[in-house]
Amino acid sequence: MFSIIPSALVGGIVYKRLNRSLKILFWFILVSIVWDAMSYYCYLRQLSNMALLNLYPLVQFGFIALIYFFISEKKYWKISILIMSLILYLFSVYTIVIMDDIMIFNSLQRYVEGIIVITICIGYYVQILRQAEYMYLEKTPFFWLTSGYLVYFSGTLLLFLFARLIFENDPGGYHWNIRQFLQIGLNMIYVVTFWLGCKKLTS
Amino acid sequence: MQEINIIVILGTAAMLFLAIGIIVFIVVYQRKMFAKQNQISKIRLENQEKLIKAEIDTKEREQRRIAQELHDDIGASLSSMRFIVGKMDPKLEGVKELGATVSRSTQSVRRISNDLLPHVLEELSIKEALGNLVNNLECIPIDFTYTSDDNDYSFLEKDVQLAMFRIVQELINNIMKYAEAKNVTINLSRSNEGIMIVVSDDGNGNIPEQDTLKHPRTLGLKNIQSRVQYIGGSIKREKNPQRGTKVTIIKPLV
Repeated sequence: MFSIIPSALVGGIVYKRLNRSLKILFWFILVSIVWDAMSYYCYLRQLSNMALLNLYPLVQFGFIALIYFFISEKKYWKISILIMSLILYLFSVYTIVIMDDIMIFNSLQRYVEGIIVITICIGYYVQILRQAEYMYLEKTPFFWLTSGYLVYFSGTLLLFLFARLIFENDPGGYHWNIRQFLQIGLNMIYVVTFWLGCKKLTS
Repeated sequence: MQEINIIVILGTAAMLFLAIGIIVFIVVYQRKMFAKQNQISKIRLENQEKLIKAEIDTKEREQRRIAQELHDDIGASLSSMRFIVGKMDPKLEGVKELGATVSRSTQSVRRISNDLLPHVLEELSIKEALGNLVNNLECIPIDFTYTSDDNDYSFLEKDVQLAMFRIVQELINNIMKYAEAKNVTINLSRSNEGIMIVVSDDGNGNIPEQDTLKHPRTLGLKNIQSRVQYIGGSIKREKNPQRGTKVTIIKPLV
């Protein structure tokens, strides 16, 4: 939970120099902190935080979709992001309201979210390869962000797919350490993204 | 549960491996593609420069040939004619007029020949050639002032000097045609930046900066740009807030 704080701090310090998409990322991080705090509060008060856990992917995907919507230059790719968002939200509503209950961990929704985010990441890579604008991709913030998301969502894809089984059989097992480890990595990538995002980009 | 554990661990490892593989591939591929694209741009630029050079060389060769033909053939014929007219009895009807016409024609041929191939440039350098160019403009109702520093410019290659001379010629043509200027100053100097020619006028500043529908390729702007590229220089056009235009050509010294 606390590993996200440095990225929020760096984002806040360089906020004025960030572009629109990185500002959205900053707000997403702030919302994530609040969400985590609420979850933790529920845990401390021995209340179920499952509803928060099930709603978080919708918020998370909304921000990610917005970030990639604004950095994409191609109209067809913007439309694709909108269509994918619509699919995920309809699917989430279906799984939460009709198929399952909001108080049960929604692993399918997470799985579909992961697949869609991976698709968006690969789509972004295709775009930058076509543009061939930068020789050193590692100097661009969105390359780091996309790589972070690709690794995180690839790594958690199967964990979330089998989440219910894992929860039932080994609720405090090492599986969640993998997720925590990936989350810490992603939070560090946020710091790099903000740091590069406040510099002026050159080829 | 054991099976699921294995699936999750192996599957996650495989997915992470795949993701990192994709990232490495993207970085390497992008770098290679960028380098390839740079190479293509470089080759394209080189080809373009070669084309411009070939075009300018051909044009200059043709102008040189015409100038020599004019000078050696028509010029010589006119000289013979003047000699014959000189021997004729001036009291005869039309001899005086004939003499004057032959003289005028000889001068015109010389002027055209000199425009096509500036002989001063052949013998001396851009410094003297520009002075000569300005002197030949005495009959035009614009006050031309030419200044230069004490440096010697004969070290420059002849084709570079010729290109610089042509640029000034085109600029003066444009001023005479469109600027409605009264005063024109031309300055040649050498600085740390390179060799600099500044042509400024007090005209209306209405010289288009690029070929337009109204002036399609008539301004010789393409010629100016080609020649600037040919000498590897730069051109800057500034409009004065009140009146006139200032054009600066810089040929960097390697």
